[in-house]
Amino acid sequence: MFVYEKKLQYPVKVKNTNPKLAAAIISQYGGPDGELGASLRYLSQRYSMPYAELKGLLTDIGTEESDQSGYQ
Amino acid sequence: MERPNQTPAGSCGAGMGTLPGSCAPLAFPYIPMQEQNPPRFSRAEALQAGTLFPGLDLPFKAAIQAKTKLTNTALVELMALDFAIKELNLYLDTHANDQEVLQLYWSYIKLAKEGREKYEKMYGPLTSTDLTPEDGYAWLKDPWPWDVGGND
Repeated sequence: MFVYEKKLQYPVKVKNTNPKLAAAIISQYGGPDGELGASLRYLSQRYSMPYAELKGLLTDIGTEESDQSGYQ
Repeated sequence: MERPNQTPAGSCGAGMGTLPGSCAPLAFPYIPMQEQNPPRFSRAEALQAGTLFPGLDLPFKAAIQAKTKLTNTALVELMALDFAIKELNLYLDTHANDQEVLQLYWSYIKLAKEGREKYEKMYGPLTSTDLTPEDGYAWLKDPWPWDVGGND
């Protein structure tokens, strides 16, 4: 289950607005080849993974990757 | 640095290619297994470097590290602790028998639990289910992490 913590994974200090850069970053996060898609791929690939340590690894990497909302 | 022994040209056979010091099957990429109980950065260094392990600290990170100076607040301390825990979590997935690292993992988890309580006393709840009897439903209080001042 998704559990939200009201803190970032890494501190971010935004000094000025930059819509062009923001568009690039949001597409890296949620776009076609973004982190969000990668995260969900890890989490669905684990269902057919036969090895215990790799089931755990896919679960834990998929979880960490979805923490790109760690930037939120 | 010493140069690894080169395999003489043409000595590996048709299905093999050269690696430093040996022959290996063509077209098979490989990822070396990290050894047991590898050297580790301090938690603060790890958060800054983006890895807990000096052996995985690739050169392209150097440029970013030079620019980023992290402050030493309760929040950054907790971030560093949580980051180290995540790193050890992923390491243990593939090295479950490393007792030394397992002990370290558990000791960091204990520290993070205490750190979380300390942080919440100062700044408010981290999750929507934290009890805040003196403060009402403090979950809704600003700032959120994306607000200005929300991650100091």
